[in-house]
Amino acid sequence: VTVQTRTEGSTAFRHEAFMYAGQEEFVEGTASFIADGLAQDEAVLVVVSAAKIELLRDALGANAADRVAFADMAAVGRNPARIIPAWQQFVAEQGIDGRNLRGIGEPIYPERSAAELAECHLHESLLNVAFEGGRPWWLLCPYDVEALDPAVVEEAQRTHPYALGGQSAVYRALDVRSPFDAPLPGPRCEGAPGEVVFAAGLLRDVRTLVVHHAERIGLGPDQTSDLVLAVNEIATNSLRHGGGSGVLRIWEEDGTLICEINDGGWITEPLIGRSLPPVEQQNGRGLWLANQLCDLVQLSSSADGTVIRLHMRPDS
Amino acid sequence: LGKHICWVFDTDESFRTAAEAFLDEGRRQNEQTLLVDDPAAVIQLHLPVGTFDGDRQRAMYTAMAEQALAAGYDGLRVVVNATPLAADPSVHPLVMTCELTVGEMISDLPITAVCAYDERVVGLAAADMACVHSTHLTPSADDPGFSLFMASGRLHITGEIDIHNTDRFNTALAAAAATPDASKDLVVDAGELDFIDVNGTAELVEFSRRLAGAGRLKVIDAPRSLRSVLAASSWDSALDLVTAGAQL
Repeated sequence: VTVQTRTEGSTAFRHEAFMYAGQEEFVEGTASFIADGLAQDEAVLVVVSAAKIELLRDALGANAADRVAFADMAAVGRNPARIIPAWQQFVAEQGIDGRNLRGIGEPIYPERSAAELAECHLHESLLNVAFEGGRPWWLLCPYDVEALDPAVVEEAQRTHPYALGGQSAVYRALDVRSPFDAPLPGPRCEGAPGEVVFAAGLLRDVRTLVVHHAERIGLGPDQTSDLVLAVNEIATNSLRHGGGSGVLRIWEEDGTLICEINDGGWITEPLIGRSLPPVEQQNGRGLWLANQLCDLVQLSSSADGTVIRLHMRPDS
Repeated sequence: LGKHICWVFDTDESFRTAAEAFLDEGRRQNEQTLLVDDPAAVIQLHLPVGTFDGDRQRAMYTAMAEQALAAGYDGLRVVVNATPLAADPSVHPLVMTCELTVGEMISDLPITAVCAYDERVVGLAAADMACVHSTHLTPSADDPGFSLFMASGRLHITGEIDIHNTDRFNTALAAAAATPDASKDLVVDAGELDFIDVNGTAELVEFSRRLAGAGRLKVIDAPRSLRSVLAASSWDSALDLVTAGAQL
């Protein structure tokens, strides 16, 4: 395994997939990438699992490890839509005075569900949209070829401009004119146990229905309240921008409660919900808030309308 | 029920029936009762719009309560047909501010007051009047969905705030900002606020900035929805959230 680790003539954002087979190759590749960054006095942020953070601390040694910022991907990326804001904060805070930056982010691990995987791939594509043309920095995304489905590893080569140490031959940039036109994966629930058509003045009914289903599935009061708030804000968007009405469907899937809001709007802003709108701006907070509050947010939008699914699973 | 109550009515008959029943209940509880339905008397007793004199008003309510107690009653119960006060739409913001101030004044006196507004005269603004009382009885079409009122030095916000009533919530906050008690020391009691959305929270943050400047408005017992919006919007520092048991 070789990872090109020198920031030679880095004038652009380099988003690179690093394919490794097993723990040893992971540590070998990422530790040398980190060590090279530190040798050049770069700011380094590593967002991987808690177990891998421990492995890297051991491999780097205490002195080097203390100069690296670590964050647990299970916390930062439980909802993958929260990862880009974390990188944006890193670049904004550490990139001052022209300091070079590098990061390691492993959003995809074998435990991810199919719905989460799809959102993780979208997240990888959106990283290019978020950072290309901005400050140059280097983000390395490890993929475990031993543990992951080969299709997942193939997709990673399409979402990363760089892979396997060089430019990816199969890289495919996201079409920013219609970033969310893919239909949502997974079973579509027809005749869901909870379904309500809502319009102006009826959001109280929407909230009541969500509370009812949240309590049935065993969500605690805080998670219930947060899901109610997220659904309320997405439904508010339906009233404001989605044609003035919408349909809410609620069902359970593998212990997770899913609230789907369907309306006539069309969302084309690729980074919507991944940056906090300024204080004075009223619009754009709905999806941002949903991403902060929910375990997963799926979005499909085209000329035919918008479908948003909010996932919440009971904390164990 | 609360002490400063608003009724919105749409027939003279329904007003009289409700007033008689409410005052009868007061008599059974040994309260002195008073029905004020004459426009001139209403303006004298309640809110002389344009010449609202807080000290004079407070002295009058205190004297009325003392007289009732001196006469052997346990308190005073008043029903006021307040419609004449709000007949002119241009004074609605001022009437709302006066209602908030009156609610604060009687909150520590043995007085229960009903302010009744005739929907046929006041129109949709009847809900503006209703929402600045601790309790309101309104036809469902006029239900503001929340209450914002002052009592014992605190601004109480109860009910649910969403896209349906954000504008009215903003109007009520503006009325509160114009009361004599509005200052950086004002404390908001949100213990009975069941839900507030992002835009409602934004209005509350703006209200805090207007009142407290660089300081922060204290909010007691904020519901989870308010705390979650603040945290997720990086507005954590905009309000000073405290729990009821904490030292203020």
